[in-house]
Amino acid sequence: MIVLGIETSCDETAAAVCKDGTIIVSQISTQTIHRKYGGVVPEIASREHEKLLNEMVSDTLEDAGISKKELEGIAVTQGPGLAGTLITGVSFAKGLAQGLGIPIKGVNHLEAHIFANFLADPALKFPFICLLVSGGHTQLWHVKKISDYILLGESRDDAAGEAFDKGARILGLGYPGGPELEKLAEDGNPDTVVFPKAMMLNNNLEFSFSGLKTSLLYYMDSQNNANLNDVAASYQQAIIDVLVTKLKWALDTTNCMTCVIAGGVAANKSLRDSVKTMLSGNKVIFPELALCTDNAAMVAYLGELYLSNGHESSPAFPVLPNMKLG
Amino acid sequence: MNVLAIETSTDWCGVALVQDGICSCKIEEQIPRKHAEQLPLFYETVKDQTNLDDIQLDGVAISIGPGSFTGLRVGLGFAKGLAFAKDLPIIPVPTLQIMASSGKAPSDNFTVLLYSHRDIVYFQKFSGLKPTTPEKASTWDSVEPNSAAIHYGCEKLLTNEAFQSVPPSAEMTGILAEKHFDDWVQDNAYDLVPNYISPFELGHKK
Repeated sequence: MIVLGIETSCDETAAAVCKDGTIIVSQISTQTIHRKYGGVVPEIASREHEKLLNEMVSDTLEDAGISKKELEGIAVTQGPGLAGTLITGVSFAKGLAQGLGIPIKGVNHLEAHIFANFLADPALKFPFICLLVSGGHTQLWHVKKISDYILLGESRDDAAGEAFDKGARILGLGYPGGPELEKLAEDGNPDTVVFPKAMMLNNNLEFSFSGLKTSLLYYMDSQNNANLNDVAASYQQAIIDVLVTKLKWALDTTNCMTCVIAGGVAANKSLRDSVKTMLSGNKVIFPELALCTDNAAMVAYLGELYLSNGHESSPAFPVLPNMKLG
Repeated sequence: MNVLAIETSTDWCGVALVQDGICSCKIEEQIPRKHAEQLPLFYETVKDQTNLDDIQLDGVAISIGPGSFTGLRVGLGFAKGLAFAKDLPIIPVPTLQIMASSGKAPSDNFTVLLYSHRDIVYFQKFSGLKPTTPEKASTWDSVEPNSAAIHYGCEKLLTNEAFQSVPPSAEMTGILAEKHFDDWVQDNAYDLVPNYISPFELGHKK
């Protein structure tokens, strides 16, 4: 089955074509206009998608060597995400599906992130633990099979990626802050400053990162000549220690042997190294960077999985900015 | 000429098929905040009632704004998807002109007012059925509409109750699109965006 995937949940305009479980072409355009605002401005993001999406879909089909008449289904991110950006992608997708007379499937963005791991490692088997770490989410999922997911724990406040971005802002770094902070931390000693690690008792699988950010703010206020490399390294290590420890607890609790890391923070190299060291006895899958961050390949892949099993959405399906999984 | 018209710039949502100046089928309903869900169903109904697949369309007409940001986004997004699927051009139709052409104007010279938010309205002056000023957004106080005007959504701001409420219609969107087809048609409308009339210059919270 040939399915076109469309992703517009935040500031990435993306389109991809999936054919029988294989991605033929995947294109992503990250909006750079938000840099000057220090964060994504929803209204601007929506307008950028409007300008880009149609051409991106056209180019993607052309690169894939597929005519639109050959498409057998459309998959589009239904949520979670920004209401205005989601509605841009969903409205275009609906018009396209109805114009071509083919089925459409609204896809859960979080579920798509989990399934991006099947693209990274086709040999991946259920069940597994998924640590989903992005700018919007920090969640531990017990993935038993398709459509059967149990949320083991999630962040009570800031997401891990948000902690990176906010930390970077406190350190005076540019946006997006995560990669900048990581770069700064490369030359630092992570044992210099002791930052708080929340909820680290009794196999608690919930997360909290807002105190960490405040702690960094107070630390920077109290120091005149702090070594920023050391501070960044210590801050990053505090986040990573929490993530890896809880991932290990989740594996132990569920007796799962396999874990996958999804979401933009999975691109962090120190996180990858820590996971490999601490979970050397487990099978660990890290998707490549282009699959960690928001993309349409995962949307097309999951959409095809559903559509080929007869699970299509009604043309009246709503956009769900707070869409949940499980 | 056959034009499929979509109008989503206010809390009304409409789809119409216009054939040589006559509307052969239309669905129009007031459905606040439900455009993204209902528009595809309206389209499906019009498609089924007119055997649309057997009709060679000349283009997809869309009410291009100003109006509700989300409404315009839904309408144009859907229109682009449809036009792309069917290899059709898009005909963007100015929303205030759709209202002006409703036949409800009280005299030859009149103002069209469309509510935006708080005390902000979109407005444009017309003479006959031709616009004499550009579309603008402004506070109600600075618009000072004279005695002749039609409006939509301005009930709370109105001082002159003679002004008639006229929502823009999908039918008129299609009729105007046919009439001005050669001037307005866009063949590669990939980067077409709604005529929002930038909000970043107005209405900042103090």
